[in-house]
Amino acid sequence: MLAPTVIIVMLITFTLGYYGPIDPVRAVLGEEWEDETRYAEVKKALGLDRPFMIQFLDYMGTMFGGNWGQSLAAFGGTASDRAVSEGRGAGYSGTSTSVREMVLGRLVISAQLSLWALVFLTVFAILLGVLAAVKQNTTIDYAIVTSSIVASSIPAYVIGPVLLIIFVLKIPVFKTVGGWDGMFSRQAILPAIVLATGPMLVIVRQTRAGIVEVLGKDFVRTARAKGLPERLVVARHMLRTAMIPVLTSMGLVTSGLLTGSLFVEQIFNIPGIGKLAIQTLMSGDHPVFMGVVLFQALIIVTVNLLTDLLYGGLDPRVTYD
Amino acid sequence: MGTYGSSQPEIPLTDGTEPDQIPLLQIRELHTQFETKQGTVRAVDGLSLDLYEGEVLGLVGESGCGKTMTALSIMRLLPGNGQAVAGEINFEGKNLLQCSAEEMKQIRGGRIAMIFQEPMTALTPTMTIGRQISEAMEIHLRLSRQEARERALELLEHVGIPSPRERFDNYIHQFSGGMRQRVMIAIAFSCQPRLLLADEPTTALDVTVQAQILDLIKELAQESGMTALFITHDMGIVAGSCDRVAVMYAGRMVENGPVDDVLLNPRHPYTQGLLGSVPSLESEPGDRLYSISGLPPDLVSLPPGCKFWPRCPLADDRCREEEPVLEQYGESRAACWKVMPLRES
Amino acid sequence: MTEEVSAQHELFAMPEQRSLWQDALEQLMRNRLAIFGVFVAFLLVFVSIFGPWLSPYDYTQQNLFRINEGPSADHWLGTDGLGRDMLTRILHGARTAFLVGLIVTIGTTVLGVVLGAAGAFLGGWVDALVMRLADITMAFPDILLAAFISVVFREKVLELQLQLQEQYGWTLSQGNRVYLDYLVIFGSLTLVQWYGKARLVRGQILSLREKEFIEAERALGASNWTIILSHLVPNSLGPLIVSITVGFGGAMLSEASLSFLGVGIQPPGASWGEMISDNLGQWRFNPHLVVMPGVVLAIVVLGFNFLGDGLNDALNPEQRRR
Repeated sequence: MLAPTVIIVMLITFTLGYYGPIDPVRAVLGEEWEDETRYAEVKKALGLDRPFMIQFLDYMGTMFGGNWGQSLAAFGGTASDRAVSEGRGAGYSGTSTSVREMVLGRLVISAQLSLWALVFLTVFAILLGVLAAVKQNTTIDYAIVTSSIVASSIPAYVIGPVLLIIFVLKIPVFKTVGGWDGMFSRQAILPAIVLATGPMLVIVRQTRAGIVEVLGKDFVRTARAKGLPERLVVARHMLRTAMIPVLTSMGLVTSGLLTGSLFVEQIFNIPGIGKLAIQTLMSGDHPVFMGVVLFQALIIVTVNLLTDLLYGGLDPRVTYD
Repeated sequence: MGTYGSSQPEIPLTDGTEPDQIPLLQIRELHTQFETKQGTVRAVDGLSLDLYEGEVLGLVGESGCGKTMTALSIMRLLPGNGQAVAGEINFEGKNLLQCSAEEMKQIRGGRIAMIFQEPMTALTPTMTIGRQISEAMEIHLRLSRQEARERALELLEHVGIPSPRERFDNYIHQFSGGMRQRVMIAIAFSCQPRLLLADEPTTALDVTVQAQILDLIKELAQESGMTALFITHDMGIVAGSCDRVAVMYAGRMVENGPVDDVLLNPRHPYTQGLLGSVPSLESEPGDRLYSISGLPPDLVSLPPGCKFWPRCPLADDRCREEEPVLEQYGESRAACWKVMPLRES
Repeated sequence: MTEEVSAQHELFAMPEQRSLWQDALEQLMRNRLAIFGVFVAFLLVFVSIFGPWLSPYDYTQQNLFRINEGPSADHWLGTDGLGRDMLTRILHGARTAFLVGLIVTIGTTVLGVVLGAAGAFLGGWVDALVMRLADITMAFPDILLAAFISVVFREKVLELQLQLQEQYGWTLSQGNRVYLDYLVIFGSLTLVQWYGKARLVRGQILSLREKEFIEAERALGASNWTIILSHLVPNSLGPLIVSITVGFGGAMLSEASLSFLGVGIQPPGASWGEMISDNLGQWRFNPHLVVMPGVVLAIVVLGFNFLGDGLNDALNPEQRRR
């Protein structure tokens, strides 16, 4: 299930890159590209003179081999200049041209940002979802669901600047914004909140649906009949069963966070994987861009797979079927 | 209501100073209602009931007559649209309907425990049965997690679950119906409550298992001197397990008394119907036995007069207009106009 | 008891065929947020058609003497870094958004219905292929894939245009390449967003095929086409309408996203996303330049989402009852 999907994802990515707009040779050579001998030389050096299928198999080999190829920056020239000048944002110290190191180096930053977003989501979105379910069909419920729709519908590149204007210009809570100064700096707060707004609706909705489903169940009444405090009734008896629909939407949440990081990192100038994707797409550093796309696809596929596995762990009945 | 208690013949008068024991649970004129789109459903409509220390009372009636709602009113666990709107439920000197949420938490599980009908849906599927038993003890008996675990293991053994140590970490779907109900019983008895409400504890079980479960509940209740309210529609269970019986119809009490008396001499036609026969004095040999025809009344719009008259073979004009009240007949009490001549003859 | 009553209601309503849709309309009219959505949709259509006549400026017209201005009598919403009138550009952005929404929705609906129906009716390897394709498209981070496709597309379309120009002297657009951007966006978004509708249509057909009333019809000798026209189409229409509405908003949002990332509408074309990224550098000094296109985009996207939600409640009542 996993392997064929990944291979076809690779094929699509590779085909797009192969027919892509930017000639890697030109990108490497810059002004020099009109020199035909140099052009042929570099083309051969990059292995681009071989047939499509061979190149693809070679590419697959590099990817599965764990070494994901080299950035065009490795070959010098304009692409290299651009990659180096843009690639070294604050917090990213690597000058490596290995795609794997570039992607993984940036991923650490994006992962930290996403982790904060997930913390906000678990704390607020789940709490709001529970509240909406308990207060089902009241004003509170409608207010929570509607405001989650609002928060999740408005894209990050609208919420981001608006929050910047509010919390930097109008009420100066934050002085320095933009850039990355580690996970525990104040700079991480705003981007993480903006990142969390995207998947918020999914989590609020699914939590609400899960709790509503469980509310009328007999076992909740049994738990209450034991005299448990309501807090424990919710935490022990309801949440675990109610979280199953939330869990099944983890794939959606992940792709939401990945998409969100494209914009959030752009707005707040954070050198994460989203920024790397946009930079390399623009500069034509295809090996790196393709690496990012593949890696993100791999993350989504893996999360979906993990979801299925975790589902069995959370619901003891599943293993029995 | 002063004479109400004196109708309990099984409690001997001691020296005349104390005419009666104070009931452990005393329900007075309880009205429980549900608001629905169709109107107000009167699930319990002016029920009064006494439960004395150490006895087992059977509460019988067809489904929908308000038995379960009575129990849930006692526990204050009615579904969202339901409420006990009037009356009193006195237990250990407190009116449960006026207790704070905090007091109710102490009482639920700690002083009054409840066993539910369908153990598969009444137990949390995503929690081990061991934890479900021990968690209440951590709250009510203030045991540590380890102590509660030890107690839970003892309880599992006691309710007859083989190899409790292995079963402790199992989930409810891994048990058979009877074993599930044993787990439920272990939970109910875990905190040694004074009152047990058993809502059709054997209805969902195989017939062969029913007797075992009933015996288990009786045995455990006797061991700890527990008072119990058995909710059932099965007169066989009443005959085998209860000391007294109360028959409910359309949210009210129509007959109550010692089991032997009520089962041998049912006064109310409804009780007679439940017992599946018409042992009236007028009946001739060769008359057919009857079961109750028709459906229970719509609790939104109850008929005037006796609530049973539309289904009653003996009903006359008085039954249709005037509602009978409970009257003493021998050891039992019944609410029926038609009992009078029967008793006098 | 509620079920009985509604079942009776349906029973009595049977002879009148349109009543289900009338019910849905009434239900929708009672939803204030959905009414807001309808209003936004109408406004969008109006502005995208009559936008150019609503303002005295052209959306590409620059005035370098009056850059980054705040709102004034001449320029109600101020001017951007090149002295272009913000209101005009926002109005023109509506045209872009609406066109993208319309064409991408048509594209994805046609593609989705055809592929989904083909999978469901033909089964076998066709079905497997369609579902596989949907899985793979889903595995991609969609904006990134759309960005990649649009970058590749733009190059190819440009080459094609150059060839056409050389051979026939025919050109798609003079100077302003914005129509080319449209083409690129239509293509890339359609390719990325078709799978939702394909899955929906396939699922609807498969589930309806098993329903008793279809079997009964078949037993009575109804032909396939009769069944499709009289049952499948009306029954799948509700969910499809919801999906189309939500997809319309989604396509407009994706266009803004691509343009924000710099791979969608290129300057001087007007797109709300492009306007946000274009003016992002001004957020400290002229916040209104960033906020205004943002607010408009947010309102439009919200309007379509609310409308989709309202339609969902109105058209799929059994889902709401849960």
